Amino acid sequence: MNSNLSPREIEQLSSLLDETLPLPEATRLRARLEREPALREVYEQMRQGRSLLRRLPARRAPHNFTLKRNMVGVRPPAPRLFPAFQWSAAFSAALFLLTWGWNGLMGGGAAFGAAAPLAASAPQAEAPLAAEPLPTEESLSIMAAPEETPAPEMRILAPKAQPTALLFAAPPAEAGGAESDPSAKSAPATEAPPAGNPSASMSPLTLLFGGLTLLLLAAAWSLRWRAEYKFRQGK
Amino acid sequence: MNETALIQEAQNGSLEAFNRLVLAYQDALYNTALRVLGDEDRAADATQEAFFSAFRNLHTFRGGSFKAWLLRTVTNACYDELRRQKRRPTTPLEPHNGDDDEMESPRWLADPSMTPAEKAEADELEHAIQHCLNALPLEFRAVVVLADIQGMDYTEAASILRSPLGTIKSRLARARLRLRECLQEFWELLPAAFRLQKEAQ
Repeated sequence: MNSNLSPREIEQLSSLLDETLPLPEATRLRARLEREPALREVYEQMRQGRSLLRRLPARRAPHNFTLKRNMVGVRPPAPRLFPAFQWSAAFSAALFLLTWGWNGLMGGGAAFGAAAPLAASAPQAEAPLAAEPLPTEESLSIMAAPEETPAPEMRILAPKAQPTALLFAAPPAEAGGAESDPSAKSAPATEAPPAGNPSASMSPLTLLFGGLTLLLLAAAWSLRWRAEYKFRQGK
Repeated sequence: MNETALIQEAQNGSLEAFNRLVLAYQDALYNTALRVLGDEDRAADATQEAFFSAFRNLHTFRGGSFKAWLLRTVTNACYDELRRQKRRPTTPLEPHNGDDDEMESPRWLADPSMTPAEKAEADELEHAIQHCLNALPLEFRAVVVLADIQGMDYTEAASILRSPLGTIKSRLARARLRLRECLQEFWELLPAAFRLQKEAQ
């Protein structure tokens, strides 16, 4: 019988079974079922098959398929105050960098200003030495005498930590003394701090902002960790 | 809480709300997967995967039948499972009970009102029907499971399988015809009412 049925007829039988066939077509098909036993047999067997499928036992799920948080990567919602701490830390960090940079510029300028007289006076110290003619035996003997005179002055000056400029700004007469005492020449070079030293530009305000940034970051991290811990505990 | 509110809450990220929906629909999804795949373990895997996918893609649900939307997800998971099976065929093992003896029928099928003989008959009939379902091409099988087992109408089945309505009608008709031919081989297993009807004809 199947080989005699067209795909359209099979589809009509199936639609009749589901009562989705338009009324005129359904009436014509029912009339055919009355007249044709073979067609009726196919229809009945399709109906029985559908009935068996509907009678299949509905299996219960073997276990619960509910999802766990770690299975789906669900993160806990951020605590309410977390964004506030985050933004505050960012703002504080920006202020820290700003003050640090500012102090660095200003402190570097001052350092450069302190070094200027040193640099300016160095050629002055060198000039008399360069301009001075080579000493002769007579001049050496003359110079030997006043050697003792400047020495006490220098000894007095050194403990007071006079500005470097003053040492070389002294009258040219002392240049010879300075020459004979190389430690006086070299000492100023070690006393001036190097220009642009970062440690010199960390003002209290910079340190304050730096500390505040760290504190805010620690608070934000602590809030987040606590929220995640509670979330994992299922609270 | 009604279903619409649960869905909305789940779409807002509430895993608890989603799990309540899982509990409401897991039997229907598991049954569908079981009848399409014909294997309990694969059906369980497909069902779990379907719920994962549903949670991840819940934002794409725009209203309508949530059951139909979930059935679409599990059908897709079954197709994926069958493609995986083709690449790596495995022999399904029979489930074992606590004493390591093979179980002939799953425990959860036990119906206290049935005699052992009735249970054995019911089990055999179920195996016969599943055998005939497994013999159908996948696209026919999916339509039959959705329409005749899950009770979806043509439009819902077409929506779930993303196929035209005419295609669904045609596939369902051909599937029912093939099932009829297959079930004839197990005529002796058919319930008495069916056998008597046939004899009367």
